[in-house]
Amino acid sequence: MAIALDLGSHTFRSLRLEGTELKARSCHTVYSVLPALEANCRLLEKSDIAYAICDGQIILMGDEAAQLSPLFQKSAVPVLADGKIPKNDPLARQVLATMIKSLLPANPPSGDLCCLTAPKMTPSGNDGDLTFFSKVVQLEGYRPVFLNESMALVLAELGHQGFTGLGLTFGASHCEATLAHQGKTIDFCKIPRGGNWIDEQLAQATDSFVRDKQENLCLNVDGVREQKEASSKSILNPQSKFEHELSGIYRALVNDILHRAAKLFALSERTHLLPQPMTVVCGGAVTMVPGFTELVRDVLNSLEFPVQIASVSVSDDPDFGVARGCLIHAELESSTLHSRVA
Amino acid sequence: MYKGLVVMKYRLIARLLLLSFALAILEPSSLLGQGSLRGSITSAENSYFAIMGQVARPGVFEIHSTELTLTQLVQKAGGITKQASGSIRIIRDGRAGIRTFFSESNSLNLLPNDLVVVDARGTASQSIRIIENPFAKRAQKKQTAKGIVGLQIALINLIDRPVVLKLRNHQTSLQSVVAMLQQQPLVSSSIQVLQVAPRRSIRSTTTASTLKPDSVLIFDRSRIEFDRLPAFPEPIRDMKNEAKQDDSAESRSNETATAEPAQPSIPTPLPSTEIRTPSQNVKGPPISKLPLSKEAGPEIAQPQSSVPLGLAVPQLENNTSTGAETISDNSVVQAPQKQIDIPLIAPSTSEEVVAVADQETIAKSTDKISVFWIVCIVGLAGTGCAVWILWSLVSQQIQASAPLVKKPPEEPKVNRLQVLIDKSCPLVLEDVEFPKSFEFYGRPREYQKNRVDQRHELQGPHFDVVTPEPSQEDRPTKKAKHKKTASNSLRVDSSHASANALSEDAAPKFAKPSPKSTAQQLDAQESGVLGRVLANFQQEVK
Repeated sequence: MAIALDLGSHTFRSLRLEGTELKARSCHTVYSVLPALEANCRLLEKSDIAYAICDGQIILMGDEAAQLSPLFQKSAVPVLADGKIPKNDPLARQVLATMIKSLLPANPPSGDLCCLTAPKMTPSGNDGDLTFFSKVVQLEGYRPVFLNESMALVLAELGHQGFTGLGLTFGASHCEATLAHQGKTIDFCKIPRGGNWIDEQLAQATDSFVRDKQENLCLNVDGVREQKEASSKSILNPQSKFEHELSGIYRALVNDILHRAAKLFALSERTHLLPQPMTVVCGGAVTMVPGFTELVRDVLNSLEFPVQIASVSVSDDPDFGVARGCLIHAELESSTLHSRVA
Repeated sequence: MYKGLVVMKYRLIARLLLLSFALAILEPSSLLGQGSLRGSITSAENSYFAIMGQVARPGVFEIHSTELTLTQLVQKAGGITKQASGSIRIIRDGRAGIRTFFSESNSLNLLPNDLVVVDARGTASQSIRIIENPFAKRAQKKQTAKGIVGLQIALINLIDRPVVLKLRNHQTSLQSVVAMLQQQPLVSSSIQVLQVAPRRSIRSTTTASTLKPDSVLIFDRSRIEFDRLPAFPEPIRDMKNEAKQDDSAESRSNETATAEPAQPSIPTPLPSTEIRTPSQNVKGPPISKLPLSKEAGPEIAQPQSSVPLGLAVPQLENNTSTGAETISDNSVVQAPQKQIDIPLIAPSTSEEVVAVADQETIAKSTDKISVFWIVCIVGLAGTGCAVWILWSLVSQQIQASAPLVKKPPEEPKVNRLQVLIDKSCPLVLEDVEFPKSFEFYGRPREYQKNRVDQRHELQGPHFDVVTPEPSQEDRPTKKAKHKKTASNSLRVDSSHASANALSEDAAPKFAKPSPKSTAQQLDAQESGVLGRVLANFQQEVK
């Protein structure tokens, strides 16, 4: 049974098909450190919250860490800061491994495929992060297969177009663009900015700061994110100053990734051989704001994009769209392996 | 002329004599008459026919008729065994002159006091059907335990009929046989022994020679002391057919008187096909209808003390499976008296497989076997049906008593890929459960990414800072100068201690703070406790 892992900078997700149901799991990629007081331990145990002990302190992981950190006046620490595994934080690596193990079903049949995406991953990339993820998945009895997010989105959303089109993913730490033809990557580009960059810019633009327990002045990123997610107005029609700032930052991000993609595709000789016009599909939590589709179409119109665009759409399942694409890839690989064996 | 007539007369007489002699040879019965020669050794009413060798029940049969065919005798003997070669020797008048092959169509007529020897398998090819007898091995083991071996011998010219005996292991020498008969040892030198090969009659030269199976001992009557002979076993009487034979005694006697003497049959090979199944069940000769008692046979006098045990007249053992008499060491002779129906499959004395001689017998045996099998099959089928009915009833009761267990619904076969592409399957979100009460290693670090360090954006102090000129030795490097400059800057917030922990990469993300934010920070500094303290300190310095 194949399984998909979407290891994002903000959330880890797993998806598998059991019968006629898709079983999904997800958790925030943060942990928090609490003082190991007896009262805290008693409170967590009463609440049936799993925790770990590290250097005499309580370690909370995942959604519990994200929800309980403000209560204990502690900041949640991302395990994939800027989409990379922190090399000077051994605790973060252990938390990463624990999260991945918790997302995968126990006792799988040996040799099942696990298609996973990792942040800051290139189609031909082979860095230390991928090695780490690969080993963790192998320890759980799966055979890892890597896939970039935008390609996974093309597989998930453009199946009826023959897996041909342009996939745009807007993640928390980076954005990707993949030009795919019949399930194969023609061109790929990415920028190291995403949802986190939008929140930081928005907090800074709106002078939203907050002081922590040590009276350190910090950007109020969480507050800005909540305000952004609460907004129901289209980013193409901003009314308030906040909305103007948000629309400007969004436009800058979309323009950045599309401009870079246009440059890359224009230089590629294979792009002109593709059947056109193509469908553009967007995915990721950033695309959940109203008016994002029109914004992408507007930006594409403003650019001299080398590929004719037929339509622009946003994935109707931005959370698990990438994971669904990974699962399709795993199923395709499994069927290919079975046919080879037969 | 007279001489010529005399010579012709003598010649005629010689020719007549030769002719009569030739006629006597060709038709002995016409000269001797049936039974005239054997009148001394054959009783007036009964005839004796002996058979030995590879038959089920060897022995001497007393028949109320002088006419008997070879097939009938073999039939009375229970058939031939699987060791039989099919070759049959007929010892008649102390001569082994007739040899034939057994077949169902062999209608060779026997004469009274004929001894039929059924040879064992050796050279002749076999073409007879063999039937396994599962009880034969057990009987053979019993006989082996008793010390009985299958060594049959026949004695000719000893009494008025042949005698068939079965010897023990220690009695298989010619000397022991002579001693058993209480004769002088010199008698053995006059005994002619006919062994397996009919034409290879051996006249024994040594008394200690070992007899072979189916040996025929022909005695010289002139040297036999008849008064010292022990009592021999009674012949097997054909009591069943007595009445019938009595009814037709006269007619048969007439037929017998006119019957042609038996001609030596031309040895013919056994039929290539198997012996046909007889269509008539033949009961074995009623060995005796007399009650079993010691009086049935004459009691042999106990040997004298000077007589060794081996020379004592042995007791004839009555073997129910055979008509052959076994002489044991005991002195009492018992004739076989138990009436035995010849089995369909003839039980052998020492062998387990027989070839059935009579077609009718085999037919009836086949009928019985088929009936037996039919009964077995019907019984098994009935048992199976009963077991099946019981099992179905028990299973129904178990199902009725057991709680209903719902079978898990079979997962429908779905095209997984198509389901994923079509997004036709619902998504179920599961909770993530982390392991409880486990331990991590290392030291947690504090996350400082979103902290805003304003050290580069703060204005300098409002008073002139007099710094002494550093000496040439104390002149710092460029990096140290930068640190010193940074340390001289007045911090407003409380992040002095951890300011160095801020990564240099984070700074460009907050590249240009807006003027408004800087003004607000200055207002906060002035309104804060620290700002007031710093202002008072500056005035005092001026």
